[in-house]
Amino acid sequence: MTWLAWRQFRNPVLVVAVVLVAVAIVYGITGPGIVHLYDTVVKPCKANNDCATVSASFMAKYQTWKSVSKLLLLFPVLLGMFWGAPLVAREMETGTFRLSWTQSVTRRRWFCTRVGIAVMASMVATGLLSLMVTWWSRPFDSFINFPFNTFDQRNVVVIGYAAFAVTLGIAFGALFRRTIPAMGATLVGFVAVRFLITDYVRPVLASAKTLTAKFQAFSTSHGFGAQVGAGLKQANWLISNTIVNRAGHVVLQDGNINFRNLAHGRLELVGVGKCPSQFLASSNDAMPKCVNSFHLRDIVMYQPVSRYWPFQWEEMAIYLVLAVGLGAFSYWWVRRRVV
Amino acid sequence: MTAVLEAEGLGKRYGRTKWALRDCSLEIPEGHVVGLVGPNGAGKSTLLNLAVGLLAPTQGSVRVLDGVPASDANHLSRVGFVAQDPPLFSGLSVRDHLHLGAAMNPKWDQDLAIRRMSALGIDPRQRAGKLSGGQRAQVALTIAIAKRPEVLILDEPVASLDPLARREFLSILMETVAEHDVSVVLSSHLVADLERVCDYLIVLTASRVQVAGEIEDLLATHHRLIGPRRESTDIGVGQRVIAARHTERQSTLLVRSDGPILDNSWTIEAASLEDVVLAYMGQEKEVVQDLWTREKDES
Repeated sequence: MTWLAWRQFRNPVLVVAVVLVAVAIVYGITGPGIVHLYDTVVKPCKANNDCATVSASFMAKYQTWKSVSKLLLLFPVLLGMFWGAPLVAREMETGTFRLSWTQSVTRRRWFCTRVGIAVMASMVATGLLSLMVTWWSRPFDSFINFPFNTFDQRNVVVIGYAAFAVTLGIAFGALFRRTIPAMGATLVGFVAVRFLITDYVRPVLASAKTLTAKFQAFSTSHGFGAQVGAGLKQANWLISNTIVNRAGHVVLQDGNINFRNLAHGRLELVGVGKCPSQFLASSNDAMPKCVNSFHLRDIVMYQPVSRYWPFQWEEMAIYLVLAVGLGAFSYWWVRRRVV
Repeated sequence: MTAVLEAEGLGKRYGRTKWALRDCSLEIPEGHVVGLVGPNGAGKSTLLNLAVGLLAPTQGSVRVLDGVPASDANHLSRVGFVAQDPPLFSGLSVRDHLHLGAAMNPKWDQDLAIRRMSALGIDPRQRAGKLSGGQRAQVALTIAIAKRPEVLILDEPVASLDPLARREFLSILMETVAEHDVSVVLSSHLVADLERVCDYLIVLTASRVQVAGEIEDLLATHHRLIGPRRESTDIGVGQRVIAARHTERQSTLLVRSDGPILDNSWTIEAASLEDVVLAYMGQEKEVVQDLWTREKDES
């Protein structure tokens, strides 16, 4: 059975192998240059705390090749569409299941072998691509220092996506018995689940931490500013940032401050209230002083950067559990319902 | 005598209401080349697909070689199957298909497979998608035979072949049966084909076995009676009229009779196998005509 499974899978595997080799070559050529640039330009600037100019030029480098790393976003769903969806559906469409399932191999073994090989191969291929992308992007990532921004394009979580996408494709293929609709459904289903889990599950994988600080405005050379985010360090994942008044009511979101001019030169801090009468629009520093007069507090909910790796493993585990469920469903369907 | 195929109250329903086979009971004895004949939609294909475990029964049961179809690898290895319009992997070569057979069947006879392919002049490098219909059927038959089954089940194997390829396929099938000790169940709606290869016949219409028996016996017990027109077709004890056709002056009956026909106002002719099969198939038509008559009465 293994022979047939490999023989049917040879060409799809070859295509993916070619893609991986191409990425390896591109990264092999450009990667060392990036590391060199990082060591010679970025590190010294960080030491001198003077990265404003370096930042733009460093981040502008290798724009083309950076899009290669976006491939990792698409890769799992492509495997789901081109490896998963046809796995059962094509046998149905061409009728070859009548040949495969009447040899001296039980349907259970046929299914486990074919699905096992496809899922394992998808995890290995995606893992390799992720390894390359993660390695190549490391200088940029450590420069940006915001790991949650590329959470779903690095490290192990994508391996879970791949297993999920392929089993989703297999399940839709078994359900529809036609390759093209199964591919479409796989694309839609995968994107929907990814959005749902990214937006509603990932932020609550662990209960968010809270940070509270006085919301302080101050004058600057251009006018005035305020420290938003209660002094939260950049690498952490900001979930929400709300500003409350003394009574605890939410008055501002994300530190957006707007003033409105009222009659007689009075000001109103939009959403909060009228400024005290001594802070007229004409007077100096009226706006920051007005803000501070309300004694607002900034409440930040965030996931600390230390949870990056636990989250990677946990989200991967969620997708693997979904994959096991889909695999079990497909097996049951092929065994009992199909034909 | 054990049965290669035994069905009891067997039924298969698609969706909620569409029965492809319903309440079918039959027994196919071992050691024969059995022809399963019936009109399209009689449930032949469904029956055979149930027998090889590609379908699961909605009701009743089917047993092949005294086991549940496709229940385990051992049982699968005892049954060879050639499906309708034999499916092959179009991207795989003929050699790949033999490799597939070898990898998936413990009793695989590679010598036999190679011998047959070379005798048929089929190129091992040829992709299955490029083969002619006759060659495809031959490759499918070879895979089914080389796994060395105890029973070979063929679902309309020659339906899509031209007369020459059909003849070749059937003669090879006959050779195989002679060479190896294998029972065969073969469905077709072409009586002439079945007559050439089968020694046992089952007529199936609308899931019902109309008649089953060795072809020799069927031919010996069925007669064509021709005589002056008469309404009554009661022709005596131990004799059954299967079909009757009347013109203005003449009646033609197809009769099943175990003994001699005594009424000498009839001219008695031997019935051909085709006569017998068509007569039994026609019985279904009468049932349907009855239904229409009732419909008319009700309206």
